[in-house]
Amino acid sequence: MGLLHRSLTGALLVLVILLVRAVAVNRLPKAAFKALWAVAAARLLLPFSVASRFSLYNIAAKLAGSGPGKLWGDSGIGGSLIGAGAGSEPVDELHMAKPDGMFGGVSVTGAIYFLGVCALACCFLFSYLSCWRKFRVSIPVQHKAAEDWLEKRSCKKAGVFALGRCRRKPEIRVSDRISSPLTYGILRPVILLPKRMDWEDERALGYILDHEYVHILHFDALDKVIFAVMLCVHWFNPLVWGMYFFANRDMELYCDEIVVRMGGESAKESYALALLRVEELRRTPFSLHSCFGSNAMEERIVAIMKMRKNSILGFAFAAVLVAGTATLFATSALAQEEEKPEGSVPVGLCSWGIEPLDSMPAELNEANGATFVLTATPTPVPGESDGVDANDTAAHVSGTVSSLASDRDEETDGDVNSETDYYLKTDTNGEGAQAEDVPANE
Amino acid sequence: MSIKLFDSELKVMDVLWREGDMTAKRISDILKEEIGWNMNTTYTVIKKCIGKGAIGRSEPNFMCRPLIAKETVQEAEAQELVGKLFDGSPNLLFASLLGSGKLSDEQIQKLRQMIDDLK
Repeated sequence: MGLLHRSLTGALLVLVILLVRAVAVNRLPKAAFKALWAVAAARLLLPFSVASRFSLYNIAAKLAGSGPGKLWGDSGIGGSLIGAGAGSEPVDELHMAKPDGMFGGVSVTGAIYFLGVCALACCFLFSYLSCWRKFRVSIPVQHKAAEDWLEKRSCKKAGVFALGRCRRKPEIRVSDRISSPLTYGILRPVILLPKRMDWEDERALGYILDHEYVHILHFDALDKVIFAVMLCVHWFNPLVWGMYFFANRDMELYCDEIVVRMGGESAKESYALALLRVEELRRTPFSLHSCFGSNAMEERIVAIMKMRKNSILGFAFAAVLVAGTATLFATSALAQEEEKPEGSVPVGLCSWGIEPLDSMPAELNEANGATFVLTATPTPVPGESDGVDANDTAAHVSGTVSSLASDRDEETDGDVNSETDYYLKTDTNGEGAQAEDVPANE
Repeated sequence: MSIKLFDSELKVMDVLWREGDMTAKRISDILKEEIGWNMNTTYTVIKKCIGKGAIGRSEPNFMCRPLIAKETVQEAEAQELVGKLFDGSPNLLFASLLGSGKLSDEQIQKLRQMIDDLK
């Protein structure tokens, strides 16, 4: 499946998710958004997709009564979007391989694309390197409050937070070069706290550590890498940029939700206050570590205070919404083979016969100007097309030979019965097909 | 002249102040044990310190020695604290220490002793 096709269909899905988010961000469990973004990321990154009868693209194709995607490729953007959704390769060919501006096989569009990918990847790498340099000179924490937290979470009774559940025990370290708590590391997770924190406020410290720990449990560091890759691949698509920003925000909202649910109703206010007290100096948009971000801070406080109790109905509704959105927008149309026009028979290979209408010239290279009839005779598939006379269903194309070329250098003595493949370029009056690779016989 | 040292650099200086001159390799071994830094990390920090003029390097075996005394750094930092947060008045810093209620009786006793010794 082509890149452009994935980008377009992915963009539509992102748009839908953003709309849902704008309307219902505080009324749905945040896990729903996490799932939706995961579906969108899969759509944008995976080179295959699931076909479904209920896909938007299938429905649209059926409504329009279309045939194979080839026809759609010519009917403009709307058509190409549907065609793209139908999973047809030729649309990509039409849009990506423009013949203008070819330089030694690499088109200008392709070169610009790769430049963009490299530039963005360099930004990420640069940011990662500068962060890594700061992180590695951090010092293990020596404050009792933090050590107490680690112990409290290590005991089996700590429920969903139990460190026993997590085989990668986090290390807590302190740095004087950051101003906001964060966590990094996929295999060896580290929670990094700024030196200037209020170490006396044990409750706030506990909330902050819990929040970062939930990030670790969910492998959010890995998710950030995946989103970064996705942004590099789809850098030209503004909706994917939107997805990058909002998916990261939703990761934070989801962690907030879990921490507050564990703490109960009374935890809401103290957690929100703890968030506010953590100042944030600088937020790098390209950063690969989870931290408290002040741009989204207002959204987070509102989300926390508006959080509702878990309900079966809410959960069910969210599940239906996610499944519905995924099916509708993330799957592709069913393969076109299912559509059988009236009176068609399944066939195997076609055999081609070519018969000159004029007399065949003595030398093949004098064949220019000769008229011919090209017959495609389908080879019936035994068992499925019995009772059908293959000759009745043969297709005929007639035309005039305009040039005849051979792929063998040697003279063939004008022996037309050789096994040489001849390339026949014609000005046919038939629809669509051009005869190529026709073994000349008779 | 005050050299601004980050926490990481102070850690390295601390090892030198405690144990005396030693090779960079020794420093990195000690820090590996104490705080888990790998060798490259320690060497990077040592080089930063050399750049800032806090460590002097002599050639057989990358021997390191501190070019700046711990007391000097302590004084400089304290002065800066007084200037930044206590309006330049050491009395306020002193009052803050006493008022926070975190000093033990023994520590207060020692402070009294120090003031007496100055007279």
